[in-house]
Amino acid sequence: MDLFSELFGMFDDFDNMFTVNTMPKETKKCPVCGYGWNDFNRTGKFGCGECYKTFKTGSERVLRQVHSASEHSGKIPSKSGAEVKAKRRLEELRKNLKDAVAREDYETAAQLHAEIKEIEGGDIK
Amino acid sequence: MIWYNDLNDGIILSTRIRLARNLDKTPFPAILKKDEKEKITETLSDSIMKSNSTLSKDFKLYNLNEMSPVEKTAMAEEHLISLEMIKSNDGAVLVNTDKTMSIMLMEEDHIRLQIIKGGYCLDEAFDLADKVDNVMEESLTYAFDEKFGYLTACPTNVGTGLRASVMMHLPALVMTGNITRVLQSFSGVGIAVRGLYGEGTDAEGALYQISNSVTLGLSETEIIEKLKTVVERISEMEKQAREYLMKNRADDLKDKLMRSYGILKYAVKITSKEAKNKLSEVMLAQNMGIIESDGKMTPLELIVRTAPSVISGEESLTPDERDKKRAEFIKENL
Repeated sequence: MDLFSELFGMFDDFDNMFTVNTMPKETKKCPVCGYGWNDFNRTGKFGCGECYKTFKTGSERVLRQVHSASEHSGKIPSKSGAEVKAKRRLEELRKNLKDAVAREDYETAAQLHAEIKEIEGGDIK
Repeated sequence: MIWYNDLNDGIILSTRIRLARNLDKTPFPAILKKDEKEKITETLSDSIMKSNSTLSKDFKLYNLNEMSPVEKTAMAEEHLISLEMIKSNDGAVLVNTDKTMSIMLMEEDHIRLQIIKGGYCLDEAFDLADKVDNVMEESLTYAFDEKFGYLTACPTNVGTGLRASVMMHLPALVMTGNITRVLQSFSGVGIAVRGLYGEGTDAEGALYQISNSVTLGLSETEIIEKLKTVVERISEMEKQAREYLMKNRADDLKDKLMRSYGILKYAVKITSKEAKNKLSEVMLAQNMGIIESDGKMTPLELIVRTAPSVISGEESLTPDERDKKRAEFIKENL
């Protein structure tokens, strides 16, 4: 946590940017837990999951600092992530299609194309 | 098997998988009121205890407010709860019969699900954690975001919420003065090194926990594969250091290890720190075939069982009495 307090000091400039771009920082509070960006700076912790979305730009920057990445690519829960799962599947199929075309495997490409069409056309679930 | 009873190859000792999960639209434990914590703890424990899964029969619920500080410390030393939870009176922990699974409720996150096993079994442990996670999710809605993944109180856990770690015994790298260099070489690749009891603790007894520090941007499989690569390389280096010592300094090494064994077998009083370091050396000696492993307990089990709070049990002992009891316990079981 001490390590973090140092790290979060790096975002002082960001606080200013945030104030200019959106609304004054002291009034921006998380609707679920009431945390402000100041609370995060003070504790190094968020108050609830919603905070990540409330302070989206800020959290993205922190996450890039901590993990050198800001996009999740792991497990998706079945309930709160059904749509995301379908989207990921489409992305994967599109990537495979591209690879198949690149290696001139047109038979696989045709299959993948049909599969993508089916998902896009049908009810995404 | 409980993590300290199976010493595997004597270098990679045990495996731990931890998943952090939180409930959707619910403040994290740090800012919840006492009654809210109680209510949520119940909902969370019901997700296991009232599930149709066989897990419900395997787990036992322990409420922290019904446990003595000694009981909590003993659980922490068995790695079933975190050091932070010793001080807490809110929340609970679910532990299974063979103590390989524990689910901490109301720690830093609503749920900290942990698998801890003897040996080197990252894939197996992850699969198990994944299954338990799925059972819990059947009745709970997790805080999850498409971009950020599983949302956690601390940004260091966000994404997969996965901390995979392996406990390693690296005495030869310590003795040959190579340990710092070896561990530093992995510092830039998203891998963290800690002592026996996690963050901020010393690597007493040449016991190190190697874990992933990056949880976002990589899939669970990628995180585990990366950890395996690092762990296997460190293990290879420890083997080389052991071979080097045996080839070039065999008498010095044997003398050092046998002396440690002698002290543990004959000491009347011994501190926790000295016991840890000497037991670590006996562990090495047994592993290298210098001393036979014919004791009632493994040296690692003795390290765990002779930690200050565990050796005291419910008695309130002075440090001096504790050191005496520890020496007797080791003598009898080593």
